[in-house]
Amino acid sequence: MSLVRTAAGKVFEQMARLVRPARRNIYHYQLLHEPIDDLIHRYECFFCRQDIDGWDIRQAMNDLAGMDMVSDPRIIIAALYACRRVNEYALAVRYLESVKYKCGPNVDRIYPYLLQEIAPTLNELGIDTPEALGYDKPELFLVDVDMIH
Amino acid sequence: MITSRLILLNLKSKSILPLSQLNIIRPPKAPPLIQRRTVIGFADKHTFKDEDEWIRKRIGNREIVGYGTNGEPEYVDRVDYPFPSLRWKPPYPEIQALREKEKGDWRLLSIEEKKALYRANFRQTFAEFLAPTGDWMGIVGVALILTSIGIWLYMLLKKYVYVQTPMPKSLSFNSQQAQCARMLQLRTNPCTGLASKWDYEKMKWKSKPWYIPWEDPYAPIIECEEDLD
Repeated sequence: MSLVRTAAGKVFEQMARLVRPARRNIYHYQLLHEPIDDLIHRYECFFCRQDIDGWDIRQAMNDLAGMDMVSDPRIIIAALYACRRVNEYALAVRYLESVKYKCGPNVDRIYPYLLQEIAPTLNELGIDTPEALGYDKPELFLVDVDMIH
Repeated sequence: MITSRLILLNLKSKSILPLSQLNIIRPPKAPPLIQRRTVIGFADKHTFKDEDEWIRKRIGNREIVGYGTNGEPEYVDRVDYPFPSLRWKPPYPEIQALREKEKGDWRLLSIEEKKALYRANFRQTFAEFLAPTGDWMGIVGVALILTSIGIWLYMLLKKYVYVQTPMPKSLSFNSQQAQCARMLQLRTNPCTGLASKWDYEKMKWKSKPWYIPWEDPYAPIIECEEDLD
C-alpha cells in the first residue's frame, strides 16, 4: 500500500488515508515475543470490561484454547466474572473443562493448583467445577456425526 | 417462445416492451414431482435468495452467539474451539425459564438445573467427545478375518491342488541339489545372480554381513584404463 512512489501516488495515498478507517498494525514479532505478564494483563483487561458481550467472551476463550499455554489463574478469574456479567453459567463450566484439557499430561499437578487459586471466586459466584456436576466422566453416549451414514 | 416471436415480428411499433413487463397471466406452477426430503446443505445455497433464510433453514431457531471456528453458523464440538457459534438447543420455553433464573444468584440453581443449562448450550462435554469409540476393534477384526481367509486358501491349495501321485522326481531334495550344482557349473547370472554368490576359489557360498554401508566395500569402484580417454 505504501509502495507507490510517484507524486500522483503520494497524493492518492494521502487522500485514501482520509477515507480509510483508522487501524492499528499488528506486527507478528510483537505477538510472538510478547512478555507473558503483558499477555495476562491484556486478557485480564479484556475480560474485566463492564460492557463485555457474550460474543467477545467466546472469541477470547477460543483464542486462549488455541494458545500453547494453560490460562493463568488471573485470566480464569477475570473470565469467570465476565461470564457472571453476561449471565451465562454454561460458559464458565465449559471454560473450566477447556482449561483442564489444556493442562495436557501434567493434569495431576497443574489442575489442583488452578482450582486452589480460583476457589474463592468459585465460592463467591457459585460456579461448580465439572467434577462436581459429574462431567469429568462421560454421561451420555452420542454417536459421532461422522459415523452416521 | 411464442410471445418472444410476437415481439420480434412487431418491428413497426415504436415501443417494444420486454417480456417481463408484458401482462402475461401465467398458469400456477405445479408442485414438483419429486419432493425434497434431504437435509439442506452447502450445495443448495444458490436456491435461496436471502442468505439469512438459508442459514435459518439449516439451523432452525437456534441463537447465534459467537464467531465459532470459522465464522459459519455451525455447531462443532472441538477441543481447540470449545465455544461454537450456536447454542445447541433451540429456545424452548423450559430453557427460557432457566435462563431467566440464571440471571439471579447461581447458588440458587440446583445441580439438575445447572446440568440442563450446560446441555442446552452444548451437545457433549469434553469427556464425552474425547472418549474412545472402539473403532479400532472393528477394523482389526475385519483385517484378521481377511488374513485368515488367505491362510485357509493356502491350506486348501496345499491339500488339494499341489498333490499328485506320484510327485515329479525333480522336486526331491537330491534333485534340487544336483540342479543347483549344474547351474553353478554353467555360471548362470554371474554378475548379480546365483553364480555371483558362489566363491569359485574356495568352493563355498560367499558370506556377506547383514549390514552393508553406503560405501559398499564389497562392490568397490573399479576404473579400467580403456575407459579413461
